[in-house]
Amino acid sequence: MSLDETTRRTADSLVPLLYDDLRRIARRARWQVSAGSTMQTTALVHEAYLRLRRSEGFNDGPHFLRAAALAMRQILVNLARDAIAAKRGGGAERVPLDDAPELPAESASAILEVSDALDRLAERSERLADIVECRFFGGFSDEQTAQAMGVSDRTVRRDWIKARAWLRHELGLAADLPDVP
Amino acid sequence: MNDAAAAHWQRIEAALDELQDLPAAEHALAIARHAGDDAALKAELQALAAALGGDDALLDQPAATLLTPPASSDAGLPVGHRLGPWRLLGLIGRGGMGEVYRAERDDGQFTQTVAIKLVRADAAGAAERFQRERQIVAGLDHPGIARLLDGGIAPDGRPYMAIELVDGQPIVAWCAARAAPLAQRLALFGEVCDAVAYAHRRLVVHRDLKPGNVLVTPEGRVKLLDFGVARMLDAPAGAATHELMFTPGYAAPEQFSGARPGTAVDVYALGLLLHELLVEQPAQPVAQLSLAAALQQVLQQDPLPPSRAARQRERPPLAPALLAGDLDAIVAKALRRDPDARYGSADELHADLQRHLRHEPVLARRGNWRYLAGKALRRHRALAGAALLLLLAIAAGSAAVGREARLARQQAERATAVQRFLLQVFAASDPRTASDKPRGQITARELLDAAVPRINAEFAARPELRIELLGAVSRIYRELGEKARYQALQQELLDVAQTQPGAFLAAQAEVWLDRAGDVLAASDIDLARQHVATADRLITQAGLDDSVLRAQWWVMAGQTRTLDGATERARAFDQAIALFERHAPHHPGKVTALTERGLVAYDGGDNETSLRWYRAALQAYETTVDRDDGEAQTIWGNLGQSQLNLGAYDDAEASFKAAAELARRTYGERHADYWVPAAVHARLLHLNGHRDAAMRMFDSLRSGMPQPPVDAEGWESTANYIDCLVAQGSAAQALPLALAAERYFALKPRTQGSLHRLWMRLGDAQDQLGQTDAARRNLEAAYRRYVDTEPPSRQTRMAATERWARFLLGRGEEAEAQRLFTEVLAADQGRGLAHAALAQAGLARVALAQGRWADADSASRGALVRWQQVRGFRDVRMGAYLHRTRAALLLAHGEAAAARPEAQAALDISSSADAPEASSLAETRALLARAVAAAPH
Repeated sequence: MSLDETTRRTADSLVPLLYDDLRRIARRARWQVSAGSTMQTTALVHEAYLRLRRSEGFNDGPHFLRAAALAMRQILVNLARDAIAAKRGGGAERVPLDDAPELPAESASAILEVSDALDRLAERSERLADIVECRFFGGFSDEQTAQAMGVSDRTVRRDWIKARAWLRHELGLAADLPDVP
Repeated sequence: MNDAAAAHWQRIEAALDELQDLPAAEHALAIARHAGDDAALKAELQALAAALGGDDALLDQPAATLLTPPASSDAGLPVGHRLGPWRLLGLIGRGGMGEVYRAERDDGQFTQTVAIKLVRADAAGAAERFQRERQIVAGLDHPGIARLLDGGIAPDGRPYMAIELVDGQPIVAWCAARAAPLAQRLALFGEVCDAVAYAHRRLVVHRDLKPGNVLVTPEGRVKLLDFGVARMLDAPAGAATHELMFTPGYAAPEQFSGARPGTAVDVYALGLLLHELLVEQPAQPVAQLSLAAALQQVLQQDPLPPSRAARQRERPPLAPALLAGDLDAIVAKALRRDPDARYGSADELHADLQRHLRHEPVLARRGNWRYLAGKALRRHRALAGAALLLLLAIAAGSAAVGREARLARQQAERATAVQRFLLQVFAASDPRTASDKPRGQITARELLDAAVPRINAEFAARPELRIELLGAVSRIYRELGEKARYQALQQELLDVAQTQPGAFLAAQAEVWLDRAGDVLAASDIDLARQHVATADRLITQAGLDDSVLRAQWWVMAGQTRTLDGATERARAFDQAIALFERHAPHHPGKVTALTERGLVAYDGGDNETSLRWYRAALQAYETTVDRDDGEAQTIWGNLGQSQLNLGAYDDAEASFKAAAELARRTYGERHADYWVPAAVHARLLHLNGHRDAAMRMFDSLRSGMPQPPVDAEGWESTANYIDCLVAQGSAAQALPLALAAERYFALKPRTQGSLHRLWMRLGDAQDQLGQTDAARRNLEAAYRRYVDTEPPSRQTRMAATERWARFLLGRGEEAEAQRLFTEVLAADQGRGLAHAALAQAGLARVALAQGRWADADSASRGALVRWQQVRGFRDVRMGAYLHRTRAALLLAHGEAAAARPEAQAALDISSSADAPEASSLAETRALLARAVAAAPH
């Protein structure tokens, strides 16, 4: 399933909204008394959805979900690049904003590597790459991924296993290979 | 990707497909099979196979979990820091909005310890708004609301608030920790409702009510936090971004569309709170869900009824049976998607809970005044003569049942009288029967309570009689509002019936139909349909397809098919009516079927047909054995509405009068169910020109209502009063009321009509008072809104357009006025509506201003001709306007003699229909004086 123009455009309009919301959540999270609480990204989509509904007037669930996954990917990749640039000592074109959520350097590299590897996977199988985009970047469950892609839950689960194996191999994440005769 | 690479990938995917289903030990063989001679492929597959299993720290979690909040190096302000008269003592915590400190007042006069909330700079809106709203919120003085004591702007520009320091535990946790019983939970919840209702009366909405904001103090009292905070920090209206200050899991659906939140969002939140209090689980659990699932959950799925949610828990805090029925219905009514369908206020919600505790009928299950859920089955049934007599005999304590039965048969001709007598005894205790007799409720209930064990004992061997009696008694319990007893007997009846498979099917079917009616009133349409289907099977099995029972089934089927389309519903009721006619022409169910059939026609816009059905229903009602005056009031009201739509003016007046009178006798003058029918009746009188009578009615009505009004019925009836004040020219009296009403309707968006209609009245009143700028704003706003939401032919839009055009004409903007008048005239499409006549008179005035006398003459004459044949809604004062317009025209043209009778005609109407202070009256008098002066004879 390839992304059509509309989905890309939707994703583009989602990016600034989601990014804004991510920052807002980051700010709120900063005020939590208990440290180390994970960020609640669920609230993020509520707000983005309502704005989009008002401005674009679209109702298509799968369309929105695909666009949201793509948008989240763009955001996370941007944050990762910012984090790495900041570590290198600034002077980068993108100035990190005050309340941006942070990424430890390791996580930032990991995100960029996954995104690059995903592009390579997409050359071989767009479907598998889309599933990774939904699950990993979009944070969707199997059911939501299935809805976004228009396939069954079962297909999603099986595809995910394949895609994950390929990525782990590609990224060198797999454990030591057992001895195979 | 080239062909070779594509082929290579195919092989990899195929291999992985197989490998993921095989245990690791068998991988080697499968890989060998797939790879064949291709060593590179084999190596690749080996590596991939190893990567299939196991957990992956990176990929298995969503990427967003890698993000961390920005580091907070801020330890808060130091101890001793001063904000206004307050001295900070230490940081209590950080909330979503900012820091919270403990502080004390230190100005030497007295000490007071408070919580100070210091808001994040970017969370605050404008400073003047903060100060303005702070005044309103500080005025909230209620034991259940944490008091806002002080507030201001810190030197760094951040707003701060000093709030009563509350020591307490969030309410759900408090109840869970003590395993509080239902009554205690409801009592606490009642305190919350009182506090919310208090704030709403001062038009302050919370917007973020949730368990975390509702604390219980060590004394066991409730305290609400953060009331009014949202409004204090709100961005000004029209700002580009609207910071969303609500918690997604506790927000009402309309909050997601960014609309201005009204009191209904708090009612929704109260519903969620009640749910969570009863089940100890959020009604909308979103915290653990992924993005898209959370979104779907809140925007598309309705929360489960509490009893069902409780059933899904292993160890629910309260038994599901306690929650089913009333409490399910009450929560459902608070959680309706449509804000207008919820309880109108926290008070109403509280009142319904109290009714539940007193075992009185709960409003949540009654529906609005046009919806007759399950009425066919809930009325006193014409009890079978024998059953009644047996009941009487048992209650009288007679041991020799056989003898009594024989005597009863011998006295067959008195059966009907006995029946009526007993029904009167029961009816006297039913508040829905208009009556001046003393209530005999205790007597009836005691009678039944004594009878039930005797029924079971003495008829243990006669199941058919036992069932019949249990059925009869259970339904009487229902009428008395004895829910628990009603349901218990219902179940007992089913149990007895089922001891003999294939027998007593009719009795069982009746129980299922009763249950369908009950759950339908709780809006569980799916469950109602299931019960209807169960009853269907039983009725068919019993071979009773041609019977009263089947007729009752058809009524229920029609009522549960609300989504299926008009034809299906009409057919169902038609079937019911036919069956009633054949088998029981005086059955109360027939009245219901006829009324419902009328509603189907009304919903389809066919007022004429609906009239016929309603009249048939009323006729049937007259001959029904036992009558429900509440039902009759509903039918009269429906009838009046249809007549109004058809312009059968006097008839409509009579119908509403009947409805109001019945309402008064049934509910009394101090009851909300009386106010709206009474107000509509009064308005009809007023439109017909009976100003004094109408105003007397309004005065008497309003003296029986809280002023200012506190609920939807109060404001809706006041809106009718405002209509009349403005129409008769009492603008000064109308204006403050209209402003207050606007405030209410803006907070509680009813159907668009109410608010926009109010804007028109407001503009009209301001125009009369010479407040031109304000009038322009309101009249134009109303006009534009109608243009946005209605087609040109809709009468309400025509009215708004004509009024706006008339205003423009008065300001000399003739071109635009002319355009708009022409548009209204064209929109009439031969229907003969009043506003077309007004528009034509408007065109006459334009023509006169432009010196086109001939056009002006013919237009004003044409307007009056139209008026003679006007159809539909009209106000007699419009006639005065038309005569006045013509008179002015004629005078301007020097035809004083012709003008005089016109002016007189206008004055004849205006002198009685307009208020003494009305400018229209003065104008008319002046016109007549000039005409007389210019042509004395």
